Order: sequence, then structure tokens, then C-alpha cells
Amino acid sequence: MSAVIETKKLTKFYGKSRGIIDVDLSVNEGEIFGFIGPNGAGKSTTIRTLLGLIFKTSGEARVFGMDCERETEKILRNVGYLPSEVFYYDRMRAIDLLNYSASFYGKDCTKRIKELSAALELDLGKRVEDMSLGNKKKVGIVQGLLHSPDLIILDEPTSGLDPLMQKTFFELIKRENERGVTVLFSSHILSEVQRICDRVAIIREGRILETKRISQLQENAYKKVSFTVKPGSDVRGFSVPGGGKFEVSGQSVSFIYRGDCNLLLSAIGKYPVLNVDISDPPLEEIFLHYYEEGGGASEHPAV
Amino acid sequence: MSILRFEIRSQIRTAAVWTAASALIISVFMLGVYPVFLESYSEIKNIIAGFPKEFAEVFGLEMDMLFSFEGFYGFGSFYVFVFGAAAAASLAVSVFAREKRAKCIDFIFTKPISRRNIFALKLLSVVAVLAASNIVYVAVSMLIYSFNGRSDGRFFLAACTLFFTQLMFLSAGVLAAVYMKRVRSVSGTAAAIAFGAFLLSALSSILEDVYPDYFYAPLKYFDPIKLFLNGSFGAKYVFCAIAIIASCLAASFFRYTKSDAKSA
Repeated sequence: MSAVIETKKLTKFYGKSRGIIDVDLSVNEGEIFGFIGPNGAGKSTTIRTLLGLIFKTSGEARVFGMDCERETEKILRNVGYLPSEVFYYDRMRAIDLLNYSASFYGKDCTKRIKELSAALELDLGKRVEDMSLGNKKKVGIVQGLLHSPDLIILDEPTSGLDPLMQKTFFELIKRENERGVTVLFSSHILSEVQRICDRVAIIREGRILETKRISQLQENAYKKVSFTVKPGSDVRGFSVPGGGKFEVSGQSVSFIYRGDCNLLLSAIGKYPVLNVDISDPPLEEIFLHYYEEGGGASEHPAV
Repeated sequence: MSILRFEIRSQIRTAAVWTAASALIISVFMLGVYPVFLESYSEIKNIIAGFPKEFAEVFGLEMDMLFSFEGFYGFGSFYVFVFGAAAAASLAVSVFAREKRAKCIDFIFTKPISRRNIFALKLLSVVAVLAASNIVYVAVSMLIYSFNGRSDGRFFLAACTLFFTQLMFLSAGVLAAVYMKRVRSVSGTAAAIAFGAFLLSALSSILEDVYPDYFYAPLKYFDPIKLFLNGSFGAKYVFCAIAIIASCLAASFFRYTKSDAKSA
């Protein structure tokens, strides 16, 4: 599988301020790749470097095998970008803006504009400046997808969209992915990433901490366990190697556990169990774990 | 090419207003004010005759020029230049700061077109609009000139001086648009540039006897009166104008193509 996005030791400083440091990223063709980190971690800086909007300090950044600074024009022919905040020209109707955007790609995007607008329930005749934040975002989505790009870069794309529209948006992205489109999805809303991404890179203070499959992240993490025993049983002394944060409430025990599931089940099996619940922790908790390690971060991700 | 079409369309209204205003100003000056001014010619001539001989000779020569059609046209042109400078700077600031003002730099810079081409097409759009506007201005000037039954080959060049002057202020406008962190008001920025140039011209007139050169007053580089009096604008001023245009555009181009795009 070839890498659509590849960065090696990509570094960007804004004067003396840190942007990103030694970022190594590899996004494979056809995958939905999550890029998570709190505000100011360096997600947008990485994306803006890939798009040629800003110039790297050192390192290497390639998209479709082409250099992001020397071959920006060629790269952008096949990239759709949705920024976190959408701003467009004043006094333009959505349809005029979208037609202007389409004119750069040298192909007829009329049908696609209509399809996307219909899916997002977007009024094309309205002036963009008169639209709500959510509708402006919809214009941004259509503008990013109208030329059927091979790579879609989404920088915190769902802000301003209501839950129903978020669902439609994710369906759109999944449909694009099904036809082979690669997606780089940057977000600090971790449940979003968990929802659609195959792999994820966690960035903190400008450095990539880890790149893993979502399932791997969850496998290696603590499980949340709770069980309830029959009345009259005493569970106050319950303990299991690998467990922690035990909380007993009446006939119920809850704790976190990492280790062999068989050992866990045999420890629980010693009690007259009424109900057991073992669940993966949400990505938020896994993510916080990365931030708490190494002295902890000043900012925690929004959830 | 879509950028060219988009930018020209965005400028049409402002350009049409400016074109009509410039044609109107020069028409009022030459068809309305000049005939009245000409009627007082003998009275002013008598006053000058009362001045000391050396003074009267120099002043008389300038007065003769001022009372001529060409001279009065040059006099009136200065005021058109001031407004023309503001119009050219305004168009340039409007075009080059459009994305900065609308906070949509990301939109244009993530399209498959190089920044070099964006810059070139934007510049071409302003030059094209100004050129079209000046074709009207030159045509109106030549029409007025032909009504007076005069024929001086230099008049066409004199009528073109507005365009040359505007090119300098266009470049200054581009420079301001590209280097200013925020462009709150297009007209305010353009007016500041033109007013600054007007003050420098006024200063050069005050200091004319002490410092005859006026390199610091670009509104006077292409003075039609100098053209009619000396047969040329003066090579040094033409070179100076070219240097201003080239340096402003080069500095702007470098910044536009090589600097980080600020996010919204």
C-alpha cells in the first residue's frame, strides 16, 4: 500500500515559537487517518504545511509522492480541504462561490455540486455572508469535495454542524472513502475520530506521540469492568492482579483492568455473579492517558 | 484565467465610477473653467507687466503656458492625478487585500494554481481595468482637444500621463495591501497614499527654488506642463518612476509568494 501523505522529521517554527517538531507521518492510500491532539498541539500546522500554505523550517513533506513546496500546484489538483473555520468572499451567493471554486479544476462540477448540496440541504441561492455558521460549513464541505479529490484533508470539520448534519457528513466521507479516497481527519473531538478512522496519530506539543490502529489503542488499554453479586455476598475484599481503582457500592464492584481476561473471569467467578459488564474505555480516556504520562499536559482534550 | 475574470468583474463598478469622474473633471476644466479663465487673460497680463523685468519674464512665460490650452490642461491634470492616484491605489488594495480582508486566503491558496500566477493575474486585472479607464480618459481629452482645433503631437502623450502616474500608485497600493497586517479600509488606505503624495507635491512646490529636483513627489514625474515646455518629462523622472514600480512590485511579489499564509 503506497503512502499518500508522508512526512519525515517535518519541523516548523514560527520565529522562535514551536509549531511542530520532527513529525513523522505516513497515511496510506484509501485509509481514513485520524490526527488527534488538543488545540495548539500542531495539527493545523502539519496540515497547512502539507497544503503549501506555510513553509516548513526543516524536514520533508510529500503528498502523492510530490514535494509539498515545489509541486504544490500539482498536489492541490487532487486535494479537497475543509478548514476548521470557513470564510469566503463578501457579497457572493453560494452557487457563485462554488462555481468559482470549480473553475480552478478544469472540469464540469455542476452535477456534483447539486448532489452534495442536496445531501447537505444547502440553499445555493443564498449569500454566504448571510448564512449561519453551520450552513457556511456546508458550503465549505461542498467546496472541498466538488472536484472529486483523491485526498480529503479535514481540519476539525464538524464544528457548527448539528448532530443530524454531522451524521450526514460522516456518511458522505465514508462514501468517498469507499470509492478509494484517502482522508486525513484532524480533530480534538475524539469520539469523531473513533467513529470513522482506521488509524490514528496522537500529537502533543508539536510531536507525534504514537501512531496506531484504533483497535490497537483500545486493546492495549485498560478495560472497564463492573459486576454485581447476589444479595448477602460480601465483595468488599475483591481484588485481582492487574486491576485498580476498585470501587465497591453495595453488591456491585467496579474497577479498571489490564491483563489476561481468563484470570479476570476466574477471579470474578468465585462470586455468585448476577451481572458482569466489561467494556473498552472510550478513546477520550486512552488519550488522557497519553497526556498524563511524562508530567502531564497543561491542556486536556475537549470531549 | 478565472481569477482574471473574477477580479475584473469585482472592480467594474468602482472603475466605471472613476472613469466617469475623471472624464467629467477634465471636461469641466477644459470646457467650463478654461474659457472663463481665458477671458481674464489681458487683465492678468497687465498685472504681470507691473512686476520687475526679470520676474515678469519668467512669470510671464509660465503665464503664457498656463493660458494656453495645453498648459491649462496640464494644470487641470494635476487634480485628476490626485484622484487618479487614489483610484489606482484603491483598485490595487482592493484586489490584493481581498482574501486578507475576507479572511479567505486559505480558499485561494489551496486551489491548483501557483501563488506566482495568482499574483500575476491579479496584477493584470488591475492594469487592464486602469488601461480601459484611461482609454476613455484619453479619448475624451483628445475629443476636447480636437474641438479646439489644435494639433500638437505631444498632447496625446500628455493625455497618457494619467496612466503612467496611476501605474506608480497601483504599485504602491499592491505593496500596502501585501505588507499591511490588516487592511481595515480600502478607501482609507488608498486616500492615505494619495494624500501623502499630494503633500509631497505641495512640499516640492514650496521648495522648488531651493531644491529644483522633485524625486520625492511622484505626482509631478509626468507633469504635462513640463512636457509642453521642455519636450520631455525628464529622463531621470521616468527612470525614477520605473524604479518605483519595479521595486514595489518585486517586494510585493516576494512577500506574496514566499511568506506563510495566515490562518483565519
